[in-house]
Amino acid sequence: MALPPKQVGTFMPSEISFLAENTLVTIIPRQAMEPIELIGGTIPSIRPMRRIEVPIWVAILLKKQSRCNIVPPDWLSEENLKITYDAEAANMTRFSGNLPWEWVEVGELILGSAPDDLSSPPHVIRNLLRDIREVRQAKARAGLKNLNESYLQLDNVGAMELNEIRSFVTMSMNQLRTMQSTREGAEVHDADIGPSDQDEDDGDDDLLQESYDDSMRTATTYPDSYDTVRHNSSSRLGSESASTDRERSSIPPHSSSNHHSVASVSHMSTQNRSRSALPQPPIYTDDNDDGEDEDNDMEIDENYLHAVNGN
Amino acid sequence: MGDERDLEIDDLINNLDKEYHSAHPATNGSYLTIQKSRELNSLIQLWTHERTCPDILPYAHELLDTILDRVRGQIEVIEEYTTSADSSGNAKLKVLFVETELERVKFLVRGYLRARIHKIDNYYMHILNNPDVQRKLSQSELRYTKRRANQLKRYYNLRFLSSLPQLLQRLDDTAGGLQMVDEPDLDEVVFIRVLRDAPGEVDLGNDDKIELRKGNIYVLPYRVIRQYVDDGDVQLV
Repeated sequence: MALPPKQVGTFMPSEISFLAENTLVTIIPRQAMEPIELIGGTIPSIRPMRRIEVPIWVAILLKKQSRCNIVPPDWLSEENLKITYDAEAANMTRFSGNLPWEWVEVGELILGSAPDDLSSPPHVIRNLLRDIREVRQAKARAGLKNLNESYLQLDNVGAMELNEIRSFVTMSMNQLRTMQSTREGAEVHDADIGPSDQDEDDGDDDLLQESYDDSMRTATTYPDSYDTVRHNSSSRLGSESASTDRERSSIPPHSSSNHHSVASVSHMSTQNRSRSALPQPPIYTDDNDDGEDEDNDMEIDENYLHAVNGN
Repeated sequence: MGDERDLEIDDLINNLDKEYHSAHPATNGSYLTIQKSRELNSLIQLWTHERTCPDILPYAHELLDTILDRVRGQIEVIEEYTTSADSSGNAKLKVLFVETELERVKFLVRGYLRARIHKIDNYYMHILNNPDVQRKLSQSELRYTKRRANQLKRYYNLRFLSSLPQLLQRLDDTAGGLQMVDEPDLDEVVFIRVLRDAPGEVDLGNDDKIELRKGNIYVLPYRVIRQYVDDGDVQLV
C-alpha cells in the first residue's frame, strides 16, 4: 500500500536513473552564474569556459538552456568503448572493470541530453553501448546458472544491470535457501544427497534413488506442491553430477578455496548441489510429476550443459 | 586617488580568489558544502538501505531533522522570489535549480518514509510485541503503528472474529508451531557493494568464507553481512 508493488524489493529503472543523476560530470559553461545554495551542497559560481564538476542533473538543466557543454566522461569515448567491448567479448566469465557503476544510466542521460557534445556521432556511441550491454547481459544470464543459496559474487556489474536481475536472483536464492533449510530440518539422508558425494560420478543412480526416496519419505511433512519442487531439484542433482566436468567435480563443494578465484558471476561459489535448480527456476507443478518427467528433466539438463560447456 | 587604487586591488584579489575556486572545484566547497553533500549522500543511502534491507532500520532522527529544516529554508527562498519583483533571468534560473533540487530531496524523504511504512504495515504486530523494535521508529511512526493495529483489530472483530470460537480469535496465535506474527526475515538475500576493505572473512556457514575487498559486489543473506552494513564497510544496493 505504502509502496507500489513494482517498488517492493527492487527499484524501478527510473529510480536507478534518478540516483545516477547525482554523479558528477564536467561541464564547460557558456555563461556566468552566481553560486546557488542548495540542500545538498552549493553550485559554485560558474564562469564561461572554465571547466567545473557538477551533478548530472545540474548539467542537464544548464544544457537545456544552452548555458553549458557537457564533457563526456573518458569511458564514453568511441575509442574507449571499443576497448571495453573487446575486453568484454574476450572474457565471457567476468565483467570488465572499465565501466563505472552507473554506466548504463549515465550513458543514456548524456546521449539523451547532450548528443552534440560527444566526440563521435551519437549513433556510433549508442551502438557501442548497446553491444557492450548485450555482451554483459549474456554473461549475467550465463552466470545465473550458478545460483546457489549461499552467496553470489558480481564484481563490476552496473547498478542498472544489477537491478535487472535483482528480483530473479533474490527470489531464487531465497527459495533455494528455504529448500535447503527444510532439507536440513527433515534430516532424512541428508548426507547422501549432501555435498560429500558430489565429487563421485559413479553413484548417480543411487543418488537419484536416494533423493527420490528422500522426497517420498518427507512427502508427508510438506504440501504436495512443495514436495514436487524438492523432488525435481534433487533428481536433477544426479544428472548434474554426471555431466559435471572434471575440474568442477574435483573441487569439493563448499570449498572455501574457491572464492579466491571467483571474480565473476559464473564462478559464484561452485556448489553443484545448488546449481541444480537453475536451468529452470523452481516451478510449482502439479504433483503428478512422475518418473518419466524426471527422465526428461535429466535429458534436457544434460543437453543444456553440453551446450554450455561447448561454449 | 589612493582609495580608488585600494578598491581596485581589493577587486583584483577577490577576482583571483574566485578564479582560483572555480578552477579547483574540489577545493571550492567550504566545510559547509562538503558537510551538506555528505548529508545528501547519507539520505540517498538511507533510502536505498530502507528499500533493500529486509529489516526495519533505526529512524535517522538527526539527519531527517537537518534535511527537513533545509527543505523549509528552501521553500522560503522560493516564496521570497515569487513575492519579490525580481524577475531577471538569473533569479529565475536560481529558483529553477532550487525548485528542482527541492523536489529531488523531497522525493528521497518521501521514498524513505514510504519504505518504512511499508515495513511497518507488514510487521506491525511484531513491532508492538518488541520494545526493541519500537525504539527504531520515530514517534509518529509508532503512533501510526498503534492506531493501525487497533483499527485492524476492531475491523476484524466486527467482521468475522467475533463469530469464531473464542479459541480462534487471537491475532498472534503461535499454536501448532506456526507463527501468526510476521517478522522480518533476516536471512533474505541482499545485494551489497563493499565500500572499503574489511578485516577478516565473512563466514557464510557451510565452510564458505568470503573476503570483503573494496568494490566487490555480492549477493548474500542479510544476517551475515548485517554488522558490516552497520559499521559502514559495505553498502546495500
